[in-house]
Amino acid sequence: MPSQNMISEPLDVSFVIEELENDEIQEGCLTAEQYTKLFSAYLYTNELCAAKFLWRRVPEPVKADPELHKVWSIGKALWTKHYTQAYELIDCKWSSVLEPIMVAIKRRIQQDTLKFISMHYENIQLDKFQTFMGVDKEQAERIVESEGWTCRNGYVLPIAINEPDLGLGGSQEILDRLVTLSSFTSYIEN
Amino acid sequence: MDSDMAVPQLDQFVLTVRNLANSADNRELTEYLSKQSETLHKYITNLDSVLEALDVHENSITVLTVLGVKATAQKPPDIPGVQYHTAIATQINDFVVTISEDELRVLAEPLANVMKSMLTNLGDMEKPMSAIPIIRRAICKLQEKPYQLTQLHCLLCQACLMSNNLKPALSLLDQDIYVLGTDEPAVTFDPKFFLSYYYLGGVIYAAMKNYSRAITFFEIALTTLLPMLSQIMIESYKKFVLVSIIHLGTVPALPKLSPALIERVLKPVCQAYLDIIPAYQIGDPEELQRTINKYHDVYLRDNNKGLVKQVVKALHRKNIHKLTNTFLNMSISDLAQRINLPNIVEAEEHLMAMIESGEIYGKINRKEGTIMFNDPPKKYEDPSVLKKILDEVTNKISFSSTVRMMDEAILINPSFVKKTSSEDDGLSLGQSSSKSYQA
Repeated sequence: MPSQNMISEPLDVSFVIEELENDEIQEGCLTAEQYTKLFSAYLYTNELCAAKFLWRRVPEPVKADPELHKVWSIGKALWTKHYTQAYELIDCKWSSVLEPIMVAIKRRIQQDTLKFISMHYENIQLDKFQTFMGVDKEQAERIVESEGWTCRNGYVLPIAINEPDLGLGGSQEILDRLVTLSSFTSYIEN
Repeated sequence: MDSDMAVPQLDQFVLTVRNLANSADNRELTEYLSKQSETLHKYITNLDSVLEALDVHENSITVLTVLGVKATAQKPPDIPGVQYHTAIATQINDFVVTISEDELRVLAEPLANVMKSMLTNLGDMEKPMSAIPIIRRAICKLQEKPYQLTQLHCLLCQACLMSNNLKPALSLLDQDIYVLGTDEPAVTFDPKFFLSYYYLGGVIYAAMKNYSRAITFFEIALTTLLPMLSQIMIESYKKFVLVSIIHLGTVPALPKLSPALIERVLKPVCQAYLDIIPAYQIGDPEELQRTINKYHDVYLRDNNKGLVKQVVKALHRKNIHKLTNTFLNMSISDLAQRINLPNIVEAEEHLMAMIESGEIYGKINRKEGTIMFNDPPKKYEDPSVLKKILDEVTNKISFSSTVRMMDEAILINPSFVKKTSSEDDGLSLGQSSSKSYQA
């Protein structure tokens, strides 16, 4: 179970994806385990189109692999935006290889959902909030509390989460580029 | 080995091409090779010994021709297909690896033809993906600049589509093209490579749901060569109509396409697509569905069923969008009723998808069952906006300097200078004199 702290270290899967994609092209195909790994990495980075096409090209016999099949079902649920179903599918016993990425996928969806609710819901029923987040009542209440939101008469009242500052504000790079650009413009104009 | 070489005709062939390769003029060799096609096909099983006898660098055209014959000829019955065609692919790959960039550039077009046969064969063997690294390697060798379109670009797109693996094509497609083939003025670039690239690129972008790029690609495929029309341009037009409706809600007017041309040429063959436009614009889902049902077989035949299905979804979104212009606040059940959706759940799904993709801005109030539409909350004093603008401007600057460089290159291009100066002569001294000056 993921902890209640919604802020988690993002998982860097770009390397895994690149390596497996290259292996696949070089070798022509992958093992069921590698396909499962690549597929879950796509789910984590939300590259659902890439995941869809990956499933299409998995050789028929490999598709029977139970774990790959389970990951595919999660992908289908995410594609159709049935998040509740996706949570249910994620919450099961995974092999030790897949466990960390499954936890990460769930957190990623939860974080995205939380942000979405905070921005686009004036208020939402607590039980609906639970299903959206894939958590039980107690956990939901803890999330509400840790975000500093309020819960009144069975309705959660979210406060919009601001986009995290990308640290661009004082970025030297931006300033430098702006200076270059302004000197370029004055050169053109004069 | 010796027993393989026992075919005297092939011995003769090797000797002749070696001799011809020494002469400065390639024409004789090309002529000879085209005449020998029949012989090569006849001794198809002995061609490996011919390849061994030839030097890749000195006899590059011949080696490529022989590889081409191997790739197009009937497979010998005693060798399994997969093994046979994979072996040829390996030979082609070795050829690409061994040969130098300059040698390969001269052979770009024949190489594209050989690789096309290779891809078809690998596709038949259900191994089209193995063509991707070979084609990619060849493109890298052919390109002097990343913004150069090669004859192999379209093949890579095709290989990616055939193997259901679209990502390898994206890095190529994302790069804008400024130069067709080489900068060499004398070399012409067959428009079929250009058209296929933009059509297939559009298909790939549409499949990856990057609709704005897809529209650009179909538009380029459709308009560049007008008023000449080809089947591929017609197919581009069909997809252009659908993707534009899905993404923009309307079909933009094409810059160089006159209404008369649509009326005369496109209408008879694209009726099924042109009929969707008014049905969509009226905004009645039932009417749209009727049109779609009417042409169901056409869409199926054209492989456009998936896109047509998206059009129906787009109509619901369009109707919701229309409501946001009228209402500030409305109940979700009312909304579902107004746009003919069966229930609130589906309406809320549409709303959430639209909010997620940034098409509308709004806040859902669960307690009252309403949605409040508001203006985009974007703050423009944000540093990320500044970064975006800077990126755009930098892109435009580098693009304009590319155009300037190309412009300068044309100005000092000998054949351009020759043509313009001879035209000047023609004006000042009369039509016939220019020719005598050149001689």
